[in-house]
Amino acid sequence: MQPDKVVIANASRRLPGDLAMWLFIGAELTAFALLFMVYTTSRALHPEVFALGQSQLNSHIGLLNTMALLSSSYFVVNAVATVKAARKHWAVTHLMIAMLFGLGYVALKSFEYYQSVSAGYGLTTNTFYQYYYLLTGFHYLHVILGLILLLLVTFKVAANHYTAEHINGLESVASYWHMVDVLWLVLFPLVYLIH
Amino acid sequence: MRMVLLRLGLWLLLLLLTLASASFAEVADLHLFGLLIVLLITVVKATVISEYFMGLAEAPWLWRGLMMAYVPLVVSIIGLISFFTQGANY
Repeated sequence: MQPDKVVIANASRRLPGDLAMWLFIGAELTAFALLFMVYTTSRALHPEVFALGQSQLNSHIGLLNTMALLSSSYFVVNAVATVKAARKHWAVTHLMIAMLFGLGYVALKSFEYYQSVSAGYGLTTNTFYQYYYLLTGFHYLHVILGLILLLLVTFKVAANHYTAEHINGLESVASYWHMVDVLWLVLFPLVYLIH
Repeated sequence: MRMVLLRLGLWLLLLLLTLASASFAEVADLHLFGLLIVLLITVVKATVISEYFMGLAEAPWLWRGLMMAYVPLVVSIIGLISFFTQGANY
């Protein structure tokens, strides 16, 4: 058997980050799953309203936001790896780039909301916009919370708070950020691509 | 170095898959095929994130299994509802 294909014994398997964060992630994923189902069912009940609403969205912004979050996740995983390799300076750089991509997402999504509201499409316009703002707005708030957490761990990395053996806090925040990314990966096709 | 290249390769793969899914969604004549491809790409991308970015490939089976099952389950339900309620369009 090749060394890289050695099966990891369950006893040596380790959950990255704190168990409390994973319970929180589980609760968040469940809440979003219910929202996805509600959105999909509502679309089935009002196909014309949703088709018209979806056609009014800017799918290019949705695409750019997907790439921004994926890129941000990439730099976060790099940050965790560099802390484990005891290269603090690079970890801070990776986290700052990750936050820039996250801020790019927030800027683009804010611009998209501004465009929709300026065009007269608000929360009470119709069923589509009600669920659109609820679903994407809830996710938007998670991105902002994730950015605040990333900023906090960046300060801690800069202050040498984490080492390869003591890295639970950083891994917890990284896991939360990746969860935000995974949720957007479902949200993007659901809202922008599947008509 | 190998892990650095692996992460870089996975990032590029995720970006390419995102572009591919957006392109498939715009192909008007391939409604059902496009829907299946877009949903399949979503599952692949989420699996890459959970296994390699979250690091669940080396996590206890319970957590790994729950995370790996989440997106396929949610996406399957979305796909089934979309297919059966808008079947005439496909």
